[in-house]
Amino acid sequence: MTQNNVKLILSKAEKSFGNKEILKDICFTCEIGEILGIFGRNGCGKSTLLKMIFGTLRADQIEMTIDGVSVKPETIIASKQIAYVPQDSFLPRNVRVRDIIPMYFYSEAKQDKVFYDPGIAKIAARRISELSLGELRYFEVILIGNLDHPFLLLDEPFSMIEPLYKDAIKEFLETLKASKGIILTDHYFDDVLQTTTKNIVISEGKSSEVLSKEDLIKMKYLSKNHL
Amino acid sequence: MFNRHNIPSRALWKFYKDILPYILVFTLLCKIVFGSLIAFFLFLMIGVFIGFFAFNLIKKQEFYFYHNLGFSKWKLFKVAFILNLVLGTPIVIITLVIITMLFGDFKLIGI
Repeated sequence: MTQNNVKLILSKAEKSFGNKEILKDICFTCEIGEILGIFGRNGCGKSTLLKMIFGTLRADQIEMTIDGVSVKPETIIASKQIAYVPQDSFLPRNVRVRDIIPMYFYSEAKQDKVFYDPGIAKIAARRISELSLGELRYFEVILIGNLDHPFLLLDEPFSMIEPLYKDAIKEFLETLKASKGIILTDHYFDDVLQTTTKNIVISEGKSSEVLSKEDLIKMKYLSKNHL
Repeated sequence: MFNRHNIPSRALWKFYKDILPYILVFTLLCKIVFGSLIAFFLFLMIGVFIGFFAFNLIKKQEFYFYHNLGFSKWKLFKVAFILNLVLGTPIVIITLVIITMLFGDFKLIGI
């Protein structure tokens, strides 16, 4: 797959839990070079949507193409087209940071790139269980972001982490977007708006394009006090 | 599964090492209840199911560690099943033999 102009198109996504329709009319596009932000109130289905795209949660209906080719979510993991950093930590807690890196990358150059990242080098000897929330989140984003998958899903990369790590993640994503399409969701809307190149909001199961902070107020994601 | 770069094999080996304790505890319980022969049979037939189920229950989130490397749950299961046959079998046989030598071939339920 060539890395230029590869586009992920989600043209339909539907999901219900029992009688409750969570997602019913969701569509967006994201191509390499773009960072798409997804806003939405708690329980609106943002994380559900990311899991459906990654294939770890069965959708009622989903239609998606990557580079013009229709893809089924159940093939996403094996095809290595989309990487995913979930909301909750997923790294084995008893393993040291320096031992996880070679499990993910065989090229020494890639290992060095991750290992000698300024934020990683100082925590390399520590176990995952010994990392602070910010250190852990940063390591997860750097680790998964350096995989060769053309698309990256990030579920709440800025939540509950200190400003220094937040800035480091933003800087990393800015560099990374040259080679990836990135889709992220987070409630820290200022951080999201600073990072993304375009945005949507999910409200009542439908997605709408967001062009400014005012749109978030119109769509009842923010109150007027946030202006 | 095992390439010269040793990358997928490291992660897959780690997955098997993580489910092995659950499989061994299950086999040991089966040995106490049903005796060595049935314990060994159950280890072979459903040991990996039990290990996988326990991992899913206790460390469900860690599946994403493997998913990002391209391993679906089905692929992990298949690899674990093969590793269990090849590597787990001698470990369990030795364990069962040692327990039998130390405590005799006891069982709570005679089948």
